[in-house]
Amino acid sequence: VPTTNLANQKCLPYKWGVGRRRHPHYDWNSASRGFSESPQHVTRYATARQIVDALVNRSRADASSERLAAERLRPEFDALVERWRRETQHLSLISKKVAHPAYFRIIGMGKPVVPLVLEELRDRPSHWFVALRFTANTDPVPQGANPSRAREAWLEWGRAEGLVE
Amino acid sequence: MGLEDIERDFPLLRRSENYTEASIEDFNYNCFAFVLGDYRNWWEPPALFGHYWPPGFTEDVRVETATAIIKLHGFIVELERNTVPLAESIAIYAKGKDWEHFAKFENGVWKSKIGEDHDITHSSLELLEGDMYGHVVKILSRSST
Repeated sequence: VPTTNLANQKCLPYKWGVGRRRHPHYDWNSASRGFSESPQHVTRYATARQIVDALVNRSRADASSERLAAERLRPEFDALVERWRRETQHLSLISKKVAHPAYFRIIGMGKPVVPLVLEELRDRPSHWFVALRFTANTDPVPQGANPSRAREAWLEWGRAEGLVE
Repeated sequence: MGLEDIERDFPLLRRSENYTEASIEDFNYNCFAFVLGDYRNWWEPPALFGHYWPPGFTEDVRVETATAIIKLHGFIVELERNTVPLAESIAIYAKGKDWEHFAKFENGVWKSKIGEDHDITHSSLELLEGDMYGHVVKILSRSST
């Protein structure tokens, strides 16, 4: 709002729209009697949309390339899973199950193996939470979750990341 | 995984002779949870990665820690190894000082949860002794009679 020294000026009648701040994104359109987006804002908005679209496309491309990388690991992964299940299925302690060489090897495959571990968790529930924690480098499991709840949390995360159906 | 796999790991088990399947496979609970009547949680320290561990107990798998937890649930009488229990009881299998498995005696039979696999009923404790679970080191009962 412009500052006015009232002591030295006559008080002028108020005129609508004069001296008022314009909204940075909208102009009053007297023909349609409504606000319309300013051309400047339309340009800014289009740019923002393009950036978002580019990010979404990049994210989809990343997910697609991650799944492609995972497919290359599948034969070895499947063999390791079968061996791990066969040799640890009846142990009572997860700490012993995850100390198995096959489980270590799966963790060693790193981030590219995450889609395969998520598929395995979806199709044949088992204790994959340690492997996921250290390959995905995140942990979406809420405090105090039991195995079923932990499974749900990982699958929700995996779907949001585009890593599992 | 099926019963064939259980028999491979526990060669003394013979289906319909000395053991029977008592549930479907379930990865939510282990033998420790099972003997204490919890079918929703996997009891193992530490309480991370979907595990449960009762608060206030040291985070280890020592037989003495497990014994304290079991006694808190009312299994306070220690029975001799060859005693046939008359009341609800829990047997602890161990290798050295660390527990490997638990079985419970209920309604005249021993019952076990086999890892992530099935619950089974078995006619004796010896059937699960061996490389996988070690040997029975302690039996705790609700009553001496």
